[in-house]
Amino acid sequence: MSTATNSFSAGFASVALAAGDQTSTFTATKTAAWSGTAVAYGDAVAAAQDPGTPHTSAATDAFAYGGNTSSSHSSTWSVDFSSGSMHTSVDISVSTAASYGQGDALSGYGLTAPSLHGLF
Amino acid sequence: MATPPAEPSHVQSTDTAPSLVVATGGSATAGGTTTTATGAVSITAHDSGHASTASGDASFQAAATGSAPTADATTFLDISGAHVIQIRESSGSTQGSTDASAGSTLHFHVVANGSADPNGPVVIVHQQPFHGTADASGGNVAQVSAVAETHGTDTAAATSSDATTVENQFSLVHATSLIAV
Repeated sequence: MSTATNSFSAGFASVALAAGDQTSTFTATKTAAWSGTAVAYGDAVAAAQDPGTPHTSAATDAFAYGGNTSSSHSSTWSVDFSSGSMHTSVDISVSTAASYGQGDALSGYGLTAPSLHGLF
Repeated sequence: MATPPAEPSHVQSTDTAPSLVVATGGSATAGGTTTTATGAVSITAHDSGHASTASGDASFQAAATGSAPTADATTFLDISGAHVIQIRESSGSTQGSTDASAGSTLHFHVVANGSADPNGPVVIVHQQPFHGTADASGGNVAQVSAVAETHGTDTAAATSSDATTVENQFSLVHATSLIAV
């Protein structure tokens, strides 16, 4: 007899790149997994200023696995503007993922694994 | 036809190639029923045209509890184009039958004047005792951040960070910050 096991897991990756006369990048990541819940969230920010053409890039990716209900969301913003002779570029990326709930629909009835034994 | 005099070695090149490149980061891994892995990396660099400086730190901790816990934490620092490098670092770990912890930290300051030094950089390293305070409590958690900031003409900054957790198994974090000025 096989035993169904649901292992909750979460992961997150983020990258930010910036090139110019003034540059700044920031990435932050947090993941957590408990019995019944897995979450991942984080962001990436890249900013640059340059009288020519500043370059920025920011990307994030997240996953959460293990439950019977999952959700994920990602947003990316890119803003470019000029102030006098200075050009500014900002890229922001945010992602979240969550999974929760028991994956084994029969676990609430005290069964250790899905089985039809005794039902017929 | 007269040839132009050779450029003295202490004169900074006027091309756009960066004279100082610094990358630092690390990773932390904890395995067990309850695990925590954390990390933080940062670099700040300035380029004045005559000299470049960079300073930063990397700190990673791991802690785990369980029947066979494991914990590991490492940091790294790669530098190109520096003339003076000062590093203060500490690392260590503890291992018990039901708990384990590890930590690694480094702080650094770097100076580059843009000239070619045939003798290589002056490196000053301070090893300090490790005072681990990592603790794993409740679930499996991984948390990490990375910051890079530059000031100067034609500079670049890059950061990456990732985290992974598996319930009742392990936590893993990794992060890198890089600057070029």
